[in-house]
Amino acid sequence: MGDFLKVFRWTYKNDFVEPFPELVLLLGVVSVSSSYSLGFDATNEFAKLTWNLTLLTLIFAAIGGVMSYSLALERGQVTEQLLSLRVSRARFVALKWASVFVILAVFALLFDFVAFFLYLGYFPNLGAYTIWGEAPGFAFLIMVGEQLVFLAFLNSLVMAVSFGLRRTTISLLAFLAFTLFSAGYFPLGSAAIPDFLRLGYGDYLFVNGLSYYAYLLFASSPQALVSAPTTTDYLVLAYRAVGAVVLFIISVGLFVRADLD
Amino acid sequence: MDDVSLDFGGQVNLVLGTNGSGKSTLINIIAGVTYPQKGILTLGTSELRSSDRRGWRRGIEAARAGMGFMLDKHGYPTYLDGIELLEWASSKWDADWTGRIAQKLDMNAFLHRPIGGYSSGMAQKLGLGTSVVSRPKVVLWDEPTANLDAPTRRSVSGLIEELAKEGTTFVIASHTPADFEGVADWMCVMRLGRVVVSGMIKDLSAGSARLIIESDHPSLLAAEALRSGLAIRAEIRNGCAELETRAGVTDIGAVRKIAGAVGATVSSMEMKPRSISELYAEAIA
Repeated sequence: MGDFLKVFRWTYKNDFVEPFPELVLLLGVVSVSSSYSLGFDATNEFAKLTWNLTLLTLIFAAIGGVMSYSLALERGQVTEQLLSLRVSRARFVALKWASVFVILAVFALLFDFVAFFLYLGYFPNLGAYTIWGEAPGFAFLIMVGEQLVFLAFLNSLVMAVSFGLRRTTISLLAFLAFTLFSAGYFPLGSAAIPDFLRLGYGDYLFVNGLSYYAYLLFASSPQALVSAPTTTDYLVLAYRAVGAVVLFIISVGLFVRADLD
Repeated sequence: MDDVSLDFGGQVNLVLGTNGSGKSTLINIIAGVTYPQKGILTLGTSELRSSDRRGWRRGIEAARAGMGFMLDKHGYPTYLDGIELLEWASSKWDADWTGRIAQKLDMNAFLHRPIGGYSSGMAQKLGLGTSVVSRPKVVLWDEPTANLDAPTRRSVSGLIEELAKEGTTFVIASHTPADFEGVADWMCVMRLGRVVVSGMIKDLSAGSARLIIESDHPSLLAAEALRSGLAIRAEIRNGCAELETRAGVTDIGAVRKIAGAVGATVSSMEMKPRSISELYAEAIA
């Protein structure tokens, strides 16, 4: 725990520095206050909000991730942390990953709350939701839970890209190219690329389906049986959860073999 | 580096060499920052072979717990205060010891300021402090006295002596041997990735001796010493004849004999062991 707090402190105070807070604030305000959605034919305000928060989350992870991994590597700060902390390379990667994850999660959750209060008037206005109006807590908690898995995936992805490419600008571009393409630029309903791979939309599908199912279970509705999560729902989660683990293992492999001079 | 074989046999081991001689690479390999293409590294009782990359990494990581580092390329956090970096590097916070280091390296004036605002000398002092704050058994330093003022350089020597007495082993890469005169007990000189000379300093300096002779005719004495083969090199410095002789040729009788030959009178003679700087200069010449 002591080592984690040390790495967390370094990461928070030294890696998530300008322009991160300024960009986050700017993009957050623009994104949350905008009704723009990423081309998805939103069925309701919740879907729009999910899109906007997805975009915001991608940018959080992109900037925070490359500053903590790529830029810190380029500046020799990763080497300094590793040597002065006197831990193994694999342990250091785990501590750094956890630190970035916690910071990203706190930022994302903060924006979730702000968005729900300001953008949708969610808690004061339960009528905004036709399906979950009776049980808003389910939707919110499931969304937050799914978002944490999504963040874990993004964190592992940006770490693997950073350790693999070891150049800040290239890592940032590669991460954004992959995630933004995944989020909005491949067509829905394509047989070649399943919808659940689409970041944001897949997340929305999962939260939507599971929230509805949870609500029906909570209400002891007979419809619950037919609304149970499908294979696709589980694939959404597996893609992100397993992806996070696999990319983390790849990151550890890249880091332990790397020359850090 | 090419065909480098070293056995750090001293308490304070000095790795000397010109720029690009491979000193930093050697330190980085021992620190586990970089991997060698081929070679064997023995740390304590563990023998690490480059062919077993995993074993190499694990061996170094196991040893790292008892090591302190200051590499040539710093990666200090610009937004943390100096004291925070000392806390970070300290495995067990010891306020008294940290205070002593801060005082010895004259860091108290800036420890509570963000590192980003430090001059190179301040950053260097902080790097030295972080490398010893946890009282490591082995300290690896790369150019520890670069950017330091003269009083701090002397303090660094004092710090080395104090820690060496407590049993800490130093491996120091540098190209300024004068900073470690009287402190280091083992040295090697590297040139273009190869080891030119290595060994205990007392053994290396025993290969020849330097005689400082006060005389009424130092120039004549120096010339005769060279002519007769008593001295390998001879020069006049501060009015005295300084003769570099082969090992064993240090007796006053031989000197009086050549003095008599040129009609000079010897009023005093002193034998000085050769300095690290002299050994280094000779090795890279």
